Amino acid sequence: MLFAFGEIFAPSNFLLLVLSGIAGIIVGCLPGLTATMALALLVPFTFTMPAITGLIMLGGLYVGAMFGDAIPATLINTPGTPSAIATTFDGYPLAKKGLAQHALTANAFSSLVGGLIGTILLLTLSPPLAELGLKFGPPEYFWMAIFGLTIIGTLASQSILKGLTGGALGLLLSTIGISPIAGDVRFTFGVTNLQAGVDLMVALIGFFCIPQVLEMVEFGVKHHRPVKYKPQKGVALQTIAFLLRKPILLIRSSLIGVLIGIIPGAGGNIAALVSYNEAVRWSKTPEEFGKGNIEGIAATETANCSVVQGSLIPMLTLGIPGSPAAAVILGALMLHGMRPGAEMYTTFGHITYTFIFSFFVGVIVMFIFTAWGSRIFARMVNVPLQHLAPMIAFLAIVGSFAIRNSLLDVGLMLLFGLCAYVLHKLGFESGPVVLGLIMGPFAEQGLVQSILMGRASGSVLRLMFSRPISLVLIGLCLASVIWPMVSHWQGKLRTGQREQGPAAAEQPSAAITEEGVVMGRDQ
Amino acid sequence: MINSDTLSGLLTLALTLVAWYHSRDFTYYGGLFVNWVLAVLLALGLTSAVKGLLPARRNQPKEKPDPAAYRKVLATLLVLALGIAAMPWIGFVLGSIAIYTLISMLIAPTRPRSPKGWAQTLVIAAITSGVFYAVFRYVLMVPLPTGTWFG
Repeated sequence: MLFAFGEIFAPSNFLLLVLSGIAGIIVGCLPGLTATMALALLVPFTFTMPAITGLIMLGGLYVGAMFGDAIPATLINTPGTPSAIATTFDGYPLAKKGLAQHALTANAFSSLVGGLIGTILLLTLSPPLAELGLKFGPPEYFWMAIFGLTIIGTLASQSILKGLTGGALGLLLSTIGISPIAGDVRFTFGVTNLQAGVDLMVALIGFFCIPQVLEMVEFGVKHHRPVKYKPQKGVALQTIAFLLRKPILLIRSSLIGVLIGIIPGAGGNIAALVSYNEAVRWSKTPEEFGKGNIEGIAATETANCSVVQGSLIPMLTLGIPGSPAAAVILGALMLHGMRPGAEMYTTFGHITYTFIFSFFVGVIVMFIFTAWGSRIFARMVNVPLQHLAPMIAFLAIVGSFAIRNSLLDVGLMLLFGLCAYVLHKLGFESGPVVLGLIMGPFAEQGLVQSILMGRASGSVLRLMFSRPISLVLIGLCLASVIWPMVSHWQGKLRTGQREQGPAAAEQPSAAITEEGVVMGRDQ
Repeated sequence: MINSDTLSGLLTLALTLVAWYHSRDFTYYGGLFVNWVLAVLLALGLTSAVKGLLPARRNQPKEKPDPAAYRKVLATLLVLALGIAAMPWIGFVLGSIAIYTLISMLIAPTRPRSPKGWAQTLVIAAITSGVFYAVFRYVLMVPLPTGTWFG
């Protein structure tokens, strides 16, 4: 441990950790740029460096991106990476109330906690967690996708029917391209570039950015202006103190992030959505989510950051990357002559442990930077609408182009944006559609592979309904479907009791109540 | 006038029909998941359409559309579409300056805009485009379109 910290705090290594972390924050902030892309750009620079220095730099950038993607999600309702989709649900409403600094501080602190807990688990429980990840087969992937889809019940605040329809539309969109098992070319209408399918980031930018720009144009300055942000003293301490009173939420979200991170292919977007769903389910006031609830932000960002360490567990122990970014880091390891497995903790133990400990230092440094910077970032809400809307359109165009250097992606982004605007007018929400788009590939591949395996083994139903992890996931699916109904009924009872009770005392302005709702100033 | 439930139900059914038509030639495993999703969409579309015809939904007050606002939305979409379509020829910088300036003009609270307002918007647009172009092109190595008209 002393050796590890000695290496991390060596001037050149520490400077590179900070600089790569800041670069990661910038990459995370820009929609269309992903941590994977930035890591891939950075790997060649590590050729001439010692392995420890190179890995510290890569780890710093990966962590920075997880901190940075929440900033545009909170300020302009645009997730910087797919992992920050769920942060928009409560982060943006909070920013619109003039309380962006509360949201950004919550983002930073939650990411810190997620990063620290994730690193502790990476350090102590890597082998058994990696074994658990290996037990996920096609049936488990299918049920995990179905569990993810049940989150629609939480996301569809206006109409469950429209939420389910949106989710199904998202599933249909996910089938565009070449089918994963049979190789059919589906719904490309002769456009060759569509054979690779719809890029998730293109769809995200289209579904979240363009409707917002169009609504700003439609309603204009008078009706769409968020409350101006005014700096307040003590916001950071107040927010952190509130979150420290929610240890169960933070620990649960971290565990969800790590567990989902160890599953190859499942990334931060799924972890954040599942964590958000669980936070709503276990909250005493689930109706407050989606309106600017700090607990919602904490749940998503904690999981989002702990996924980083989770994805490294199977990578370091078994050579199976838990995420595309982990795959790039695996490539860097192999370039430096290291082979994942037992050797990582024996022959190359000094490098591996230094790399893991660098996450401790990295998340603390990134927390200090983003928490301190929250007062500056929050001022973006005050940018006049006639400049904010074109800037969002700008970011959308550049971000969607940057993914594959293709104007077709930009055109698709605009088409998705138009569709999302029309869907909003019809009472649909973007969240369920995007959720369907994310879960579709997992559901399809899991289903088709399970059927193939089941037919070979004699019974598809036995395969789908008899494996232990599958049964746990099926139980979670049922709980996730039944719980919103129970919660809705309990909410109705509670509303009835409140109406009969004494009037609520006057709430202080800009204070965080026990339910995590920030009481804003009058709009 | 039909309400949003009926309209969304009918649109869902239309989309399901189109997708089903195009999926007729898929192989068994290629079309398995698609067919399940289409079956779900069919059921949801029918439910939504029928729900919209129920008396309680039919009598709900409807928002009055604002034609002027919708014209501005259409204009914004046109600006975006034309700007993106023109980028291969005029390049990213010019295209984005045009998009920025025109969208800003559509949202501006005062009409008509003063020459000073126009100049201010153009300068901000030029600076923003230039900075984004420089960062993406030279730092992040993303080759944004330079435009065939400019080599």
